[in-house]
Amino acid sequence: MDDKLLDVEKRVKRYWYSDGIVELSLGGMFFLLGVYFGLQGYLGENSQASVIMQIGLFVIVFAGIVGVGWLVNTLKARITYPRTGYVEYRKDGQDIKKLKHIIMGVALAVAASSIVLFDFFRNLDSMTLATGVMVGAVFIALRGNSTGTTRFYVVGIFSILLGVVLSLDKLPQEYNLALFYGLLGVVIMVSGGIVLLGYLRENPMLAEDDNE
Amino acid sequence: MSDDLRRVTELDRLIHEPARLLIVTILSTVESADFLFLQRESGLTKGNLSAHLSKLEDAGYVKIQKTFKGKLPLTVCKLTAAGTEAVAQYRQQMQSFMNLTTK
Repeated sequence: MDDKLLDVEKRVKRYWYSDGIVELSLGGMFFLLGVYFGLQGYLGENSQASVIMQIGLFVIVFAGIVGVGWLVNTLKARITYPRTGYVEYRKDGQDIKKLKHIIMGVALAVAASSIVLFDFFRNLDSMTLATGVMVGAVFIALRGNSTGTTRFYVVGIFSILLGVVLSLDKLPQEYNLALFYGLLGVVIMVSGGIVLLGYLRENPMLAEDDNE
Repeated sequence: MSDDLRRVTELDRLIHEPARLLIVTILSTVESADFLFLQRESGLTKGNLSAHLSKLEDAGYVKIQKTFKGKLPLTVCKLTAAGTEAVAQYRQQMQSFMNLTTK
């Protein structure tokens, strides 16, 4: 019986991702990050614009996180809540704690393996590799595991493979990061778009008094 | 009858009812959820869900609030502290009973 209750809990957690809106917004942010790194690579390290952009990275990421949150809430209020209902999730910091553990664990693993396999890592773009592994681990361990959503495992594995492949090429780091975030962003947006289309097909808008 | 078995008779019958158990399990996973979400997740009819929610509200396990999200009217349900404690206790009792029967 407890297994059935656990299934219910997972299904409720999965609901947040059932419309693909989070992925569309997150994918958009990743894509913009890709554009950012691409521009940085194009402008070159010593140009004035590139220096200003480097300073602005924190602002861009912070604004991106706030922007994604706002976009997700706005779209859900218009698309999801009238169709399949409103849910407010608990902000108990459990996910953030888990996220910290995952990032710390992966960072330690990457650092440890880079010491042990120094010769191997010397020929790699370790920043792109570490980014790919970390983003992938977050998708697999945090979202996939807690919600049982298969597509997050796929995105996670894609992220790790992309990080590994891009770390082996001879492009400058900025272009590798641009390709990584750009391609991952597109994949996440496509995944979100397909899920959203399916969701809209399965859940037509209800009459107003259906939520009384 | 052993003490462990006797505890089964002390189960909270209000929560033990399958439909209400489903409702409180859903609510224990989130901060709050609206009527529409509960209806879809539980598969209950409007009337049935209303009746079960009223019983849970009367017991002080669930708080029901009529509100708005933007222009959308919502009937938001939330597990109270007493409800959260009752669910936790119920699950603990059931778990120990299950452990006993699978020994």
